[in-house]
Amino acid sequence: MLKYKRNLDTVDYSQNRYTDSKKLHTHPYDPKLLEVVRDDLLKPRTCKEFLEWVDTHPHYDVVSEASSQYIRGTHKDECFWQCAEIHTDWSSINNDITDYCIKNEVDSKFNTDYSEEWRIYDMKEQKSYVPFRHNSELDNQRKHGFEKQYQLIEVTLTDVFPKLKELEKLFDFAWAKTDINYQPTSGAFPRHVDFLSTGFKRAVEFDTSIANAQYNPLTKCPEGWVLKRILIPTDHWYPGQMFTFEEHSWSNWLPGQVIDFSWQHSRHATANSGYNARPILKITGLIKENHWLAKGEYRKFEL
Amino acid sequence: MRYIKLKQKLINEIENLNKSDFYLLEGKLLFVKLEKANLVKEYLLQKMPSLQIFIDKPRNWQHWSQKYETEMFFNNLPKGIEI
Repeated sequence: MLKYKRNLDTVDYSQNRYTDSKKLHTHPYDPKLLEVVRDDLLKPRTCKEFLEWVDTHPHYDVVSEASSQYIRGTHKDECFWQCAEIHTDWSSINNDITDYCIKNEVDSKFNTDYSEEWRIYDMKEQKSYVPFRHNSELDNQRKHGFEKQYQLIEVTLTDVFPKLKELEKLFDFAWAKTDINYQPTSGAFPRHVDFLSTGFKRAVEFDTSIANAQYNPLTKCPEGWVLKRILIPTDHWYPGQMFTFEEHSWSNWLPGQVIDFSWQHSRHATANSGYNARPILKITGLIKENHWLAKGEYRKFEL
Repeated sequence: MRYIKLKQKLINEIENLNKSDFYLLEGKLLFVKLEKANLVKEYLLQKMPSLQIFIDKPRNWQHWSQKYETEMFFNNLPKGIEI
């Protein structure tokens, strides 16, 4: 079979645009409609078929909402937990990030608008630091006023942050993809769950065995693999910075704390109502069941 | 934590409870009829007497395709409740 590749020139994504102002995109979603979409989500598909289904689905935001199985009252430890700590020179890393952002006007050119990029290409081919959103997701978000969300700064596919690339290797992820999720002041990203598409798409695009693996809609991972995303603050928490996972909040973080979380089911949201930018390293990749993270082990690293 | 497995278990084990009797919305279970919510509450308390179950009247929105009499949510759900 052909390898999966997002091809913006040949696929018509116009159907993904938000055009129906009635029912479907009105919050709170119709619970019965969510169940219909959830039943569709549960149909057997390979990873390639699943990504194509999501990519061309006219209502990504509803699919995303339906994919969460979270039940309120679930313990905080099942939503997010610290899985490791990294001791290194975080001050120097933060200075590098700040310098980069000043040089590239990341704070001032801050508007999460439409982008054609999946960020799976080399940085020199990318046009902006704006994260890719499925059109209907972004339509839905912008309709509700979320026009400044966060900025993504590429790490894996560039040589700008060599120390962070070293840090990525500590976790031994297959198809690792690291970005700095940099939220300038006034940024807010509404609650959502993930499919980890940017990292996952890269694996599906280049690895036929993953493209052809069955997609598990309950774990939202390829069969035989665990998709992981870990979060590592590079700076201290500042008052006003918010990170919530359903009814639970994460705050007072320290640089080097490594947070694992239920990206599949636990709706998470961020806002920066403080007066300092909020950089968090985001590492996404695939692991097997025998990986220490999949086994719930805790690690300490020196770098 | 997992709605799909929990729902399947409840439907299998509670007589007169069907797939169309309740749904999930933003972490809460929404019941079309109060009596079905009571069946679920009774079942869960029998299995887990210390479970905190909250029952309330939900806000019914105009754009929804049907009305709901009851919403149910929990506190301190034990791990693996769906199993």
